[in-house]
Amino acid sequence: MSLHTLLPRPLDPETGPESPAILTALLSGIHLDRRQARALGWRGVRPSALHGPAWTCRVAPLPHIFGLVFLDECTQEESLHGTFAAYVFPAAQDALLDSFPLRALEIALGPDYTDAVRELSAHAEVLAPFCLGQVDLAAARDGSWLSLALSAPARLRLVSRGGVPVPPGAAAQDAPQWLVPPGGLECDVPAFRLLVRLFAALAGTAARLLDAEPDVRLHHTAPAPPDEAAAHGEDRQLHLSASFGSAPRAAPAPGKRLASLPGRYVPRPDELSCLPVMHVLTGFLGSGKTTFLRRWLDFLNGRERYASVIQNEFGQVGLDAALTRSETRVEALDEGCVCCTLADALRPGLQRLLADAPAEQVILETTGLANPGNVLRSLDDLAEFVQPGLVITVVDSLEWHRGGYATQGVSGVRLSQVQQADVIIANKADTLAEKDFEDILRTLRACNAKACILPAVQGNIAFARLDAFLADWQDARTRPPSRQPRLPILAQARGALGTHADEGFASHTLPMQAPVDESALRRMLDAAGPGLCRAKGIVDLLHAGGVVPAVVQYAAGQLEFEAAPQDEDARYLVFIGIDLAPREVVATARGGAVAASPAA
Amino acid sequence: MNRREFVKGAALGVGMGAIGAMGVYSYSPMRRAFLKDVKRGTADIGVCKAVRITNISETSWFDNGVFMQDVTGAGGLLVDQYTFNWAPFGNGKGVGKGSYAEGIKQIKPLLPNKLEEAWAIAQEKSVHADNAGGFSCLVEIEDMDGNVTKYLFDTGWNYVWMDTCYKREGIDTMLANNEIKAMIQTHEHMDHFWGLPAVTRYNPNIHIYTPNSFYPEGKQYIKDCGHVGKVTEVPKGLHKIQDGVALYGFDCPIIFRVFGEISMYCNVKDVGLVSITGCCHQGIILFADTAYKELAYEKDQFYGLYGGLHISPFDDWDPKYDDLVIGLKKWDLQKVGCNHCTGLITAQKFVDAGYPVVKGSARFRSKTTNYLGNGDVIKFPS
Amino acid sequence: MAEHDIPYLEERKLIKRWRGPLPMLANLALTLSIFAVTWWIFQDPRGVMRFYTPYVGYNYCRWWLIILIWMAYIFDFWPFKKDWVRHAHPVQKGVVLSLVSVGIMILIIHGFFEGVLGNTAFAYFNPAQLQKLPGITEFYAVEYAAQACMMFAVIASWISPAWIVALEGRPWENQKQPVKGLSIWIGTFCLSLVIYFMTMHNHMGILYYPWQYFTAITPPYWENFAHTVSANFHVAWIMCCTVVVWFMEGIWERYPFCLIKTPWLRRFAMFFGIIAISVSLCFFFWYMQELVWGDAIRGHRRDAAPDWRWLHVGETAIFFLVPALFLQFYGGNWPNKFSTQVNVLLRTLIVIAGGIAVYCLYYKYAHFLLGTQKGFSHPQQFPMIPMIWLINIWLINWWFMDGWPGWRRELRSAEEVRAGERAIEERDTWHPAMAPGLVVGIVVGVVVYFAIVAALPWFSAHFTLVQ
Repeated sequence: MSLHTLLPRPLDPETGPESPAILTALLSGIHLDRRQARALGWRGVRPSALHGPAWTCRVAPLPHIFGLVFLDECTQEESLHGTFAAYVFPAAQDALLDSFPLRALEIALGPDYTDAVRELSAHAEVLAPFCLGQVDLAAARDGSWLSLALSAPARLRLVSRGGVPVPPGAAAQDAPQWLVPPGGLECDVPAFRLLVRLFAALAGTAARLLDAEPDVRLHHTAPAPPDEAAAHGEDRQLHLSASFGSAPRAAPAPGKRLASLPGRYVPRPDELSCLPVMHVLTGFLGSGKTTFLRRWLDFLNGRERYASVIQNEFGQVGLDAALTRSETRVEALDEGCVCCTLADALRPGLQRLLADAPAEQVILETTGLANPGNVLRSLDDLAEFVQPGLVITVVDSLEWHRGGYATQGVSGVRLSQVQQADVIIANKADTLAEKDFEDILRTLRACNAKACILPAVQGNIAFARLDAFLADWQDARTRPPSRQPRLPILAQARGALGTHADEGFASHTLPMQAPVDESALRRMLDAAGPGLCRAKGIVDLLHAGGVVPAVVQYAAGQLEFEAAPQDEDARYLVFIGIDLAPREVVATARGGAVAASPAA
Repeated sequence: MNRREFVKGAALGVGMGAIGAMGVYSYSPMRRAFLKDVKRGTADIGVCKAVRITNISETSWFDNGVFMQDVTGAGGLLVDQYTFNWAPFGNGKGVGKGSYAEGIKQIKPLLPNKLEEAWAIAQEKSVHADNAGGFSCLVEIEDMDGNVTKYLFDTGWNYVWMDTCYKREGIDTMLANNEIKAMIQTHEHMDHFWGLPAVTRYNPNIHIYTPNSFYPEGKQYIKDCGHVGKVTEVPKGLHKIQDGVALYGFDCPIIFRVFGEISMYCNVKDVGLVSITGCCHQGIILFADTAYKELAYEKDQFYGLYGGLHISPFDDWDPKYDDLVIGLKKWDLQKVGCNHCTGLITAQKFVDAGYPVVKGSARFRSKTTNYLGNGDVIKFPS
Repeated sequence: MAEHDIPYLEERKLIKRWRGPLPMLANLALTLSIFAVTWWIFQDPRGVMRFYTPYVGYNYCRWWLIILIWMAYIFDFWPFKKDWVRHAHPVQKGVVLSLVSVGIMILIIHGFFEGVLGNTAFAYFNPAQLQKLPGITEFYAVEYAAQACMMFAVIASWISPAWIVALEGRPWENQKQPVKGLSIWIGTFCLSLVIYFMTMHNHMGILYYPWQYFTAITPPYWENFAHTVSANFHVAWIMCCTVVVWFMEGIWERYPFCLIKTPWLRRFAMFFGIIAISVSLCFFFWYMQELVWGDAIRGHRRDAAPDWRWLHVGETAIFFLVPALFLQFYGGNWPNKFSTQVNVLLRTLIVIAGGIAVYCLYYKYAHFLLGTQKGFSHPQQFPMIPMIWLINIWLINWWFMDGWPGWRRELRSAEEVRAGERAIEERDTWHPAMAPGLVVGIVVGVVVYFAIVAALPWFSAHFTLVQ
């Protein structure tokens, strides 16, 4: 092995410490392949460098945040030796915290705990009560070997000689007088057992990136000479080391040789699988699915996590695909809805897509009318191509408010979309008063107690929460809410078997060759009748004395325009709804266009 | 007064006074008066008067879908960029089956002067040559005396596209007239580096700065482009190049088998720190933290930012923070010109969140006005 | 006072054999080459016996120092005959006395501490006893035992010379040897033992959970003050005491305490004055580290850890002892031509400059020359060991070998000695005219202190003394 595969330049500790650079190379290197990083147990890393190099991270299956702070490096003729302090930060409500020193508990219950942890570099001193051990990194200057070692007490124990009394006033009459009785343990943290998870992920990362098997050794000593962490009588110190490569000069670490790294994260079969994850994106007509999708894709593309999209539109012309295409591979399944008429069309489309560009994720954007339950059923047949992901439903808060769903209840497709969702995006949060929006959120929660509900404006959420939500369910080895077995409600099951035409939904496409202005468009929308749910398309818009191509979006009474993609030549409008009056629209269009056109 | 006795007493007193002060003050709580509360960086790189950046091209490739198809087709993000069979190093064997040696053989005799012919060969032998664009900008530093020093920041990818862009902005003449002091090659990625002949054709003597972690192919390519000038390899850490301007070498592994990126910090007098990045693969968090830790800058103000902005090479363990807008909030930036790998929606989010984003003109194939697009100019201070 | 009652070290008069700096260079060359050879044989981790583990080597070198002090200062070379001491060849004396001192050292470390105390009183003096505890390896057992034993020497090497220098050997100064020597020895040994219990025993006790609660006061009383439970806090100020005792005796010529003419008051003032000055220096060296490296962080390891910071205070002090002894012995306590107060001030400045130079040279080249570790705070980095080793060799050269080869020894008669004492007595008197100078000087001293404090962070940011 050679460190050059990790750090393709000579080590030069004279210009500054190299062990943080090696650690960066390990952590960043493994995250270039996100799937690999997750299979080693990494669940997020945050660098922090306000003072000195430091990192915080999560390692499955533990829920705690780990911290590493670079302390010091010294060099010898042929090697360099860096030390890092290792921290464990349980969540403030975690029971584990009860075994930490009282000072740690006090910090954790303070208001700035998470912020301090995030900026560990600047707060290493304050957070010292969470420091449970030390990680040492040694490397040959010629790159021929690397060694990682963890030193931590088996249990970090502090005995309180005087005891810690319950503060006066806080104690009830019959309650115990002592938080910690005299001579009792103030803290008793299984330091090694916690840190070994972090260490195993680190050493596993090194093994993967260096493509070498480590020589793992474990030994124990009496507590180190008294400095702070080792003081007050802790247990024996355990030293676990993993060495890579041949180290003739460095004597082999003492201790018993182990066959493999203890504490290593065992990845689930789905984490090892190379199949892409398929997410299903639903949402009623005009709720903002495509906007949300475009933002999501931008997030993913920015992280080089390429995704493919299958779009299915209820309408003859694929506008959504046109809007999304320049950023991503899109397969459009036009005309009809994937959940009923095109169940079989999905398979060849998916095959085509994956053969073209094997993405990490596939997002299936259904029509606004699709019932995700039906889609999920057909997805079970696609297990050879994709792994199941999340069902994400975008909800138009404004439409829900106007429709009075918060008070009168909701039904039909809207209800089943929300009920079947793992994640509900409560979109257009900015269009409602705070109180009204909270009513909507409460209604959503009542429909689906297990889903993750995220308020959004213009489809913006912290997209990383989607992955985290799925990973949390998977790490807990259970299915996300949409996949949990449930008894089908008879009416729903029957409704789902029908087509959307049964419910009266229909779509009409109107070519729009002549330019129109906004008022003409509004007249056309009015003419379509009260059953209109959604209209969209591309028109040449008369605006400020000129003509600009524009995308028209209409939903829940709101009409919006945005700049049209440059290479789209077709001009049309699609109307979707119940009992539409296409003829009136056409008539209005003719009159309106003529009336509004200054050229005519 | 007896002078002799006075001196004796004074000599005795100095020692007593100093030792006494040591004893009384050194371990008292009052000593904190001299201790800094935050261990801030104090590296002083001097000051300059103004910074002006001309975006020559920020469009690395024109169709993300096509690009993604190449990446996944060749085997993913860890594949060596020289083996993709991307232009100009195509060998005609298809995606993922190329090599630097085979690719350069076809075009080397034509470099750097017959770029159009070389690119025509590349178009024939490579995958999706016409999708290639490039990242390059011109940085002009005005020093305190009003003299302007010009630096070229990266060289783009597509020979023909870059040549057109350079001509559009007059870079060709500047290069030929030796007006550009040096070229800063931020990292080895194809969209920042492979357009090098479009620079060496006009000035083969130009001084080039690169990270000290270029792979052998990259080092060879500099030579193969006919470059005969000085090459400075910037190691990790701070590297001052003139008053008020320093490069900073970051160690970080990057996709397509590239390692290390350099960024530029400019300390503008009475204004604050202006940072210029290529892609910021080290992550904007580390980038900003490092400036805070290492540098002393005017008014302690992290003033401006230009370039592509990757947030972090990692997922954040707290997903709600995995967002560039949140990541930059605490720095209170006064002026941002973003483009390239920032992401269209991220740029939109910046605007939505009220960030001081300088709008562009969306010309020359730049996609949005939220990007400081091709041909646009940003000045610090305005 | 009879002639034989004058201690040999006061009785002799060392005269340069040659003019100019030649004697100094000759002795420096000799002592440094002895240092190089003995370091390689005994201490160097790349050498023959490799005692630099580091505590084993530290233990030996520290005990050797204290035994040299005992032999020359307290016992006045008893039981060797005065006649032999006066007339034997310096080289012969050097070899014989050094070998005897090493023998005593081995007897005390391995016989008394390890054998007697380690088997009958405190397990921590004996590696074999320590290894009976669960989970402790041989290496650490040997290190801990050496550390425990060494800490006693640290205290003794302050108390023993301080008894002679500050308390002027009272109340036994008029006794003949060996009564005088034994009395002072037993007195200082007992006092050292008491201080050991109060400062170091807690440190050793805390290692052994849960027995510490039955044997030592833990966590120790200094914990909150020093921000550490480690006895390195005491090592810090006691090392400063050791250094200040030598300053007092050498370059400071007992100033300013010699101005006090009431004998008992002078003695106590000097004994506690040395402690006060040492504690001041100790705090200042701590503060310097805070100014240069930032706050110490409890729970941190290595160079931000309070326990290491305190240790480094002691190490820093030792770096200043080396130039001070060199100036006193081989530099003839130069300069001498001004009034004593001014001489003292100038010497102090020279020693400060020399100490800084030694400090820089050590951290720059020691890992290369001495085989120690690179960097300040490596756990195996112990600059005290080579510094004290060199001091030991100088003491042997100056005390046992009468400064051979650069110096020749002559004897002073009792009259000469007394005349010298009278002259000093006369010179060291307080004159009221010094008072205004004193006041101004104190103000200047305080200003200088704050100037240094204010400048240190700037200096450390702009100059790197040691990479």
